[in-house]
Amino acid sequence: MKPRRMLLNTGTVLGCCSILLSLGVGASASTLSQRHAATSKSVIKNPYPSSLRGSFAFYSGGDTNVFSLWQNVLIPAFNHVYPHIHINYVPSEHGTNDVTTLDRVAVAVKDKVPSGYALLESATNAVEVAARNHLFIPVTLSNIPDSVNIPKSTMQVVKYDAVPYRGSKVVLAYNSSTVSNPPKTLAQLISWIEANPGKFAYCNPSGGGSGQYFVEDVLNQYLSASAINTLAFSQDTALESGWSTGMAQLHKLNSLVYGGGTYPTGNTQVLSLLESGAVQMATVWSDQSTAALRSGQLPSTTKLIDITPPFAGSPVYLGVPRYTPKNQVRLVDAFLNFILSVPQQAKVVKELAGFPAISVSVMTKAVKSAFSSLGEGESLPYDAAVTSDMERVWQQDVP
Amino acid sequence: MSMESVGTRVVALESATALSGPEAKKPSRHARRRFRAEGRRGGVASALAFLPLIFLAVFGGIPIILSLLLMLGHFGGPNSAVSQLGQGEIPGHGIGTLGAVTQLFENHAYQQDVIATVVVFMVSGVLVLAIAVTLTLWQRLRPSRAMATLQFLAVVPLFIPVVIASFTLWTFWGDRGFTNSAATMLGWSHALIFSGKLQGVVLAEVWVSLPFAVLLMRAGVSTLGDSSLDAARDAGAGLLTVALRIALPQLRRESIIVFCFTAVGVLGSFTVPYIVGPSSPLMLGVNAVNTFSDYNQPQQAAVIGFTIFALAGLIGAIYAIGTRSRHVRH
Repeated sequence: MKPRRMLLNTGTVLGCCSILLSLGVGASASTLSQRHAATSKSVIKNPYPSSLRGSFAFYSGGDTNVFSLWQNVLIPAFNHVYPHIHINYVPSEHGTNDVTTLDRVAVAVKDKVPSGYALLESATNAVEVAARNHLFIPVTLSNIPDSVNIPKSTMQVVKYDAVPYRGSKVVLAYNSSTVSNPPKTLAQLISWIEANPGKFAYCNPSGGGSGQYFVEDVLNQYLSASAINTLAFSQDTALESGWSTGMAQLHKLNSLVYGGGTYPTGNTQVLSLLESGAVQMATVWSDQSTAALRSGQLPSTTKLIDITPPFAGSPVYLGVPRYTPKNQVRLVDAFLNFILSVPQQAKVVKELAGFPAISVSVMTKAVKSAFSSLGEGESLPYDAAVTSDMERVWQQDVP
Repeated sequence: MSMESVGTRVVALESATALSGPEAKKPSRHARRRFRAEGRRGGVASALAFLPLIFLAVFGGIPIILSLLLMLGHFGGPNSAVSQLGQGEIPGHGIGTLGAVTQLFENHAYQQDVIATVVVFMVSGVLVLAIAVTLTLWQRLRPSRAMATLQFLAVVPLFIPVVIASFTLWTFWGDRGFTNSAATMLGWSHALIFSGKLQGVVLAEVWVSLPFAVLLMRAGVSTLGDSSLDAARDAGAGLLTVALRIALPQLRRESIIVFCFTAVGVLGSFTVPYIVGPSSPLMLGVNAVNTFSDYNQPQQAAVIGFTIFALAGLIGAIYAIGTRSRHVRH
């Protein structure tokens, strides 16, 4: 699983749609989005023949399960259809090279030369930061026709400069053998934490998205809907000052969480605390915990639920750096179009127990039923720069 | 080796000069070819001698200078890529600004981080030194199979990846780990939990650093002469007296090396404090990575880098002074 922050396990595309639309995000649709949504769900002929040939480099920050997905599932499937396209896959464990790769791309774009990578995936929020700085080639329906099935809100988060290929959301996990009446709202959750000292854990928000989105949910209690919406798309230091009340509440919870203020480094450590019984409740990624339940790492008594307001989810994006040679861009677009097709998205769901990047409504019946228990609702995560600020402030104010 | 080659070349040139008088015979073609070949070899040797310097300059010196400029608020040139995406930057003009430095050092949390880092590397260094000296010296003065086994076990962590060891120790010292479970069984509940605490970082750092220290001390202890140790014993000195008054003074150089190497290693460590350590205070290595990657503040990360650099300089000074005084006494 992705070890850190939002991108790491990542998030869903699904519920973003309804939430974003309800927040009025859709009203600010750009020209690109209009172009994108014009032929919603229509079948567009694949413009990429299987005779395409060439190669391109693909940088991928992630964890071993992500590497396995690419190397053992998606790339071989792609090569089966496009045998003359060679993908030079460059994995980076836990995204340790994300920032330096992002810097390399930034320099190349500034100098208007190819960066050497034709496709990027990051374990941190590097791809979102790059999209925010317009380092990527915009996604359109003409270059990636199957992106038509991606919820519009997911594309708006990155201003149509990157394309998601999978997602996940943060949910509440609890031990049903000891917790008979789990909280249904955030207020109830906080009351439960206060009533059960040391039995709840969330990870350091710098270390994993499951902790990050819990913190965001607490902070958002004291922000207006418009402020939350603004922080989802842009940095605003004035609005960020509204975090003080939420941070104070989190600081108050410090002595009531696991270990009297011990914050596990990442998502995986939270799961191990649940597994060992050290805590009875925690925020976890839906895909990571579902996979752990399947493998037996988590006991079957562990249940996953949504609360109100729901925690955020986030898609994992892929970006094509600007000034990538046109012949390579065509190959990459063929690849992206391929992995956004329904059969390949079903493989993503199966391999990572994650959400598909495209709407669940267009997925197979089996996939639809798999997501019915958790629902598609989720809050909007903060913008990449806002997330950096939030993590810094949390580090200063909470532990 | 390079000096040798240069010396050979000088001698060859002198020989050539000596033969170059008007009465001297013109050097043969064979001799001229030999001089040219030696000249080429000397050039290559000189170039090889410069390679480490070039390597240091490219991979050490230049990045340090760039980081210094970044810290002082110069965001142009090679720093433009990092600063283009960075947040919370404080630009400097002329010589630059120390705004980022004062911003961090006026921050109470950062002050705590610096203090925690110093305490952890000092305590870890002293503990590692004490354990390594005890294990090796005891075996030297009073050999036993048990102590030999302990020495062997102390080297085992060398073959276990730090990241694996860190996760294991985090679990071992955790709420449901072995230490706390054992303590709870003895009625001492929640007494031995070190995960997420600075004490846990110290213990883990000692565990990780011990193999190298034991190997180094073992080499030092093996050089102790039997005569002085036997003379002390013959004079009626006990084990402790022999160890403290005869053996340890002779191991001063090795002790300083072990302490300094351990301290520098702990100071720059990331994996152990990241996994085992608390969320606050943070060791500087973890704080630097968080600031650079998560808070996206490269300028402030450079300040933390230079703080680590300065602390490493202090340890280096201890090393230089400690080893020099020994040399002078000789």
